[in-house]
Amino acid sequence: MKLRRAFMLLTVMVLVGAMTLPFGVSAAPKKIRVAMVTSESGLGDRSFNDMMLEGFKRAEQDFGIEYRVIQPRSISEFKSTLVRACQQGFDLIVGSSFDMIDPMVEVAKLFPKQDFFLVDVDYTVLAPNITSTVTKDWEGSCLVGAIAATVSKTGTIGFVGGKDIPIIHRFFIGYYYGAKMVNPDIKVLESYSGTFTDPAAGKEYALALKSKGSDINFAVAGATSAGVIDAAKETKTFAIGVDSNQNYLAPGFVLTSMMKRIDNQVYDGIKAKVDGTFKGGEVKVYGLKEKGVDYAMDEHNKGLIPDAVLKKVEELRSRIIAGEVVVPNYMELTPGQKVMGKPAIPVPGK
Amino acid sequence: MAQAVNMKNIVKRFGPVTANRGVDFSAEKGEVHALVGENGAGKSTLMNILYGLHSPDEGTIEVGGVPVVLTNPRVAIKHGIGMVHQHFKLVPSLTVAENIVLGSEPGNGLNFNRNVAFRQVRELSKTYDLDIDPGALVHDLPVGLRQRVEILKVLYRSVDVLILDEPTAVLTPQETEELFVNIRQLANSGKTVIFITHKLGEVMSVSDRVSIMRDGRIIKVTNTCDTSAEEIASDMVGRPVLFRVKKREAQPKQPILSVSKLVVDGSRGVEAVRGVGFEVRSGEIVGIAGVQGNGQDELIDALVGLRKPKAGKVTLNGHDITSCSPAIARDHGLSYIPADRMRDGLCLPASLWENAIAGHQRNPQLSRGPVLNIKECIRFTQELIDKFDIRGGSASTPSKALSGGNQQKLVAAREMSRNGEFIIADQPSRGVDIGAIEFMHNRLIAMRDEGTAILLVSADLDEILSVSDRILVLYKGEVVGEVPGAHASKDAIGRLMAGIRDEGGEQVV
Amino acid sequence: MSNPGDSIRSKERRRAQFIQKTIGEIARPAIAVLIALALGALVIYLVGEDPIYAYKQLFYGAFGGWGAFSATLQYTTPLLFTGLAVGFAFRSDVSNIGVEGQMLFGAMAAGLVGYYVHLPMIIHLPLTIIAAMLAGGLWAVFPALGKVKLGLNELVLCMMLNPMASKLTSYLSSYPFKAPGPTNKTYDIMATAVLPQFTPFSQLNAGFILALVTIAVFWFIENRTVRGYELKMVGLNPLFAEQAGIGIDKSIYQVFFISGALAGLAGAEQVLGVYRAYYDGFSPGFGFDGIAVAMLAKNSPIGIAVSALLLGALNSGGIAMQMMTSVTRDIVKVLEAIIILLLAAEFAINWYKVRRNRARQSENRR
Repeated sequence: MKLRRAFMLLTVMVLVGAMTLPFGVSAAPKKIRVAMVTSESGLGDRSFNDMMLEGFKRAEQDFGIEYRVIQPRSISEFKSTLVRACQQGFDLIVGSSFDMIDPMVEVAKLFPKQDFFLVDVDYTVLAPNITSTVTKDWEGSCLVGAIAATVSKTGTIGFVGGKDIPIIHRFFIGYYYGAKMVNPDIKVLESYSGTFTDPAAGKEYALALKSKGSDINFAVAGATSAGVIDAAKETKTFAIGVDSNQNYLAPGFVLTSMMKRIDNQVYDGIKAKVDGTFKGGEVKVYGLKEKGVDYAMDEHNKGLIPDAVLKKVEELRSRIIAGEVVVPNYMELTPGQKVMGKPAIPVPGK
Repeated sequence: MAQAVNMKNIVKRFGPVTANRGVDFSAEKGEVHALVGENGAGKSTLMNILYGLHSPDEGTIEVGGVPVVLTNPRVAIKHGIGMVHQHFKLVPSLTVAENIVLGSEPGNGLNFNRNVAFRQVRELSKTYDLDIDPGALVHDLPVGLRQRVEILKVLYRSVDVLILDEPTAVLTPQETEELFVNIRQLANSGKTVIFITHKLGEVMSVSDRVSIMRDGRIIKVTNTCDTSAEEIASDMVGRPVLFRVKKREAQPKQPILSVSKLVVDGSRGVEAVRGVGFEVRSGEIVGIAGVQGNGQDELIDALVGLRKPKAGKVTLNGHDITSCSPAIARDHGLSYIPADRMRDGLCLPASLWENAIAGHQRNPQLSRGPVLNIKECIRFTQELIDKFDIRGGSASTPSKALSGGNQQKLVAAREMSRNGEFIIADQPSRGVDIGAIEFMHNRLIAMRDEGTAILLVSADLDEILSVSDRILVLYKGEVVGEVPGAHASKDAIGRLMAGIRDEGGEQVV
Repeated sequence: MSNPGDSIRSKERRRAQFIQKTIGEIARPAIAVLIALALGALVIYLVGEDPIYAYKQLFYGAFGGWGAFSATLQYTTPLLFTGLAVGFAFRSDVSNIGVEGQMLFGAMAAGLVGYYVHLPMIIHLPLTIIAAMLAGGLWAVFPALGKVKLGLNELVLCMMLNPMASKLTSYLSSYPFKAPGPTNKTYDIMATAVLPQFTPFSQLNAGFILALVTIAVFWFIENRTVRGYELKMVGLNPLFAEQAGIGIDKSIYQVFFISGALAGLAGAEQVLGVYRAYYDGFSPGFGFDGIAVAMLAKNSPIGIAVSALLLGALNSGGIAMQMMTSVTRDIVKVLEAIIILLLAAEFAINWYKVRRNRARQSENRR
């Protein structure tokens, strides 16, 4: 047995090793090389990572950069992946998600000359060679909350989160705030499916919300969202998509999508690198003002939202941008305000 | 009569082994021809050549007087030669008719006409008087009927020569009887039946002629009526064979095993053993006779600990072992030669030594604490190989590489070397050739003389008669008679086995 | 057949057979890997990349330099444990495919004992590891109970228990034991329970050494002990084992428990060595990869070491391949899938061969 396995390994190594013999780095014309390290869900999530990729594509077109997408399978692979990306000499390494903060900070220390860009985290400055961004998704959520609360016929709207984690609460608080602002009597139901990868669970949760009277459900749950949208189609109610524009997934049943324009953030980050204005140790903020978040309007949801409603929402947008309305950020709430289901946050009248 | 097949000077080698060393074999039209020989004599090889499974290294084959080259079974069938193997090749989830026509279905190749198939099979079964329901699913059929399906499958391809490879090995005595009737009918309707076996009783009762093989050669061809079982046996083995083993009068001492009022449920929840009680004493061999399926299996399972009895008591060496696991029964001195070496007697993929030490593995000679002493295990196995003359492999050969007879010797060697006070030998000579049977019987008697208590179960009445000191007859789960071995007549036991009491032929209920 | 000279010839023949068999057994898994690489090359070619270059990157990314190699070993470590857990069970004919769930419980136990218990390292670290093994082993007793007491199919049971374990541990790390912060994880374990890391380049840690020792111990158990022998017999022919006095039910409990304990070790290594806390959803399916590892290795511990390294190298090299080419990580999944498919096909063919050989047993038996 021992012999057999050893021989097997040897065969493979010799074979692959033979390919390695003429190994050498080709001298290509110097392009800016950027690496994208995906979060766990990887490409094809029709959501966050795919949206990020859009930014890379645009940057490739506009600045002639070269990019590679690296997809670790789990958090445990982040660190070694970042290390090897550093060793490959990329000009900029772009990552995302809270889970990547610790590995990136550690690796940034190890490779102090390497530039990093970490999108969609919080206000903390991470390292002198990391620029990070904050997406004020709570502001966008506030707008879709306002839309949902006005369009709802039952007076009850719902929310299906992926996991019960702070970042998802951030969406809910915004959603709740926007809804209550336009209609203080609206009921906002909160639920968490516990998974970002299970459409079947998403459907169950959406159907449960429907049975409690909700006719519009905001799905913030990665791939699980697909089930929420499916349920909307089945019960002739509405879903609200997230991250990227998901209106097309079920035209007529996705009321709108709360888009996080991660692509813009990535594009800006790469642009800074190309321009030579990139400097680490900063935190960039992307809110409504910076066009970092928005709700999606296209041919797939045409006519679903009355113009009057849109007008009101646009008004709200300008008030937020002007700073007249400050949508609360879950991360900055005091523990007492974080009670699940009934955020004890002050909601101003109309 | 015309010759159906004629094989001349067939030589077949497998690597360095020569299986057939220039065999001349012929069978006539309309006869039942028995091909006998010990395991490994080359019978199956010869017939596989005739069926196109092997091509001969030398020699010629004629079918109906015309020389043919049989490259594969398809060609053989085209020339009218079909074979039914010991292990069936049926699709259990299909119906009888579907199995029979499988591979040559009626219809135009795209459309399978089920009704035509059913009708054809029904006609076929009528023609040859082989009764079967074409619509039955094969997995619902008992072994005997499955074999009938195999035979029909061959006949469906309109063969003239039918080769049956040890057809009775898997059958009950009743099924065997029916098969023999069928074989005679086939022969009467003009088919040639070649019948491979090493059971002499079968040769005598069904065949017209017999060819005897030994060491890859045919050493004798004779009409069955001109010979006797004893003569065939000596020809097969190459020396005179004693059918009754020589033994001294038993000197039984204290009881080792006592069974009282034992009741055991069968697999289908019906009571299979109904209040059996007996003793086996040190220094005697008790034989259990009975037609298969009269509770023998359940009785043995209960004694060994593989099946929990419903009521009654079993003691071994004074220890109550009722409902104990096999491990505990073995701790109290039980040795057990299981009936089916392929099923639970051996672990076929494992090596000889791994099989030989089973049950001995915690013996301090073979292991130190939790660690196995493999060197010692191999030495122990080599000892058994030498002592029991097990051929065909070394201690590290997988035991599936051994022939059936040698596998059985390995089981016997393992169990007999345990030096337990009590041994159950369940069908110890099933599928074993005559030489090995003789050896096995002599070992059992030697053990008896050393003081072991022995319980022998066998479907073979001759075996029971020749070895046992006392014979118990089981019928429908009850002991219906006890006969001293020395004075037992086959007739009397046969009647008991059929449920008929000696006094006045009264039926036992 | 006892011609003079037969014994010499048979000795030669046996040696020839042995060599033939050995080559055959090495060849088949190697061929499976080669076919997978060839088909993978085709896929890479079809997406417009140079397969040779891609494989070069794959190899270099797995073995080229300490950074790469330490990552390979890091990815290999959990597979060593889960592969062994699955293989040890398979060997005794116990289809424990619940290793994923057992690992999650082991990891959770490691995370909790690692944080809440305060003891000197020399006691704390072993205690934490033992707790993880116990947790994994006890969770594995459920399918054993179902199989023995109720006669249920352990495959189905394990398949149902895996999501249960995943939800339960997810709940524990999201609510009762959650540490504050944006991620669902438990509190960081005490320094006294940490398996030290060897390098800043990856999270390779002392768990790797523990894995190698475990492999060696199980090689010894399986090949040199009485119980290892008995369990092997149970796996090869339970009816045989039972009549020979080896208790089947007891073996099932024992095998499930030990297999679960090994799965728990996998969890402990991840928590104590890689993450230093229990992270919700940390496993990308190590327990399921373990099934592939065990199949590829035909359950032998040495084989498991080699095939875990192969899979670890594929994953690690795959990351490097993505950096240098436009080939995505899915190609690695494709390679794995093809290897498993080929091996499964091999199983099926072997099964068919066994049946056919049985049918032919009456011939050439000598």
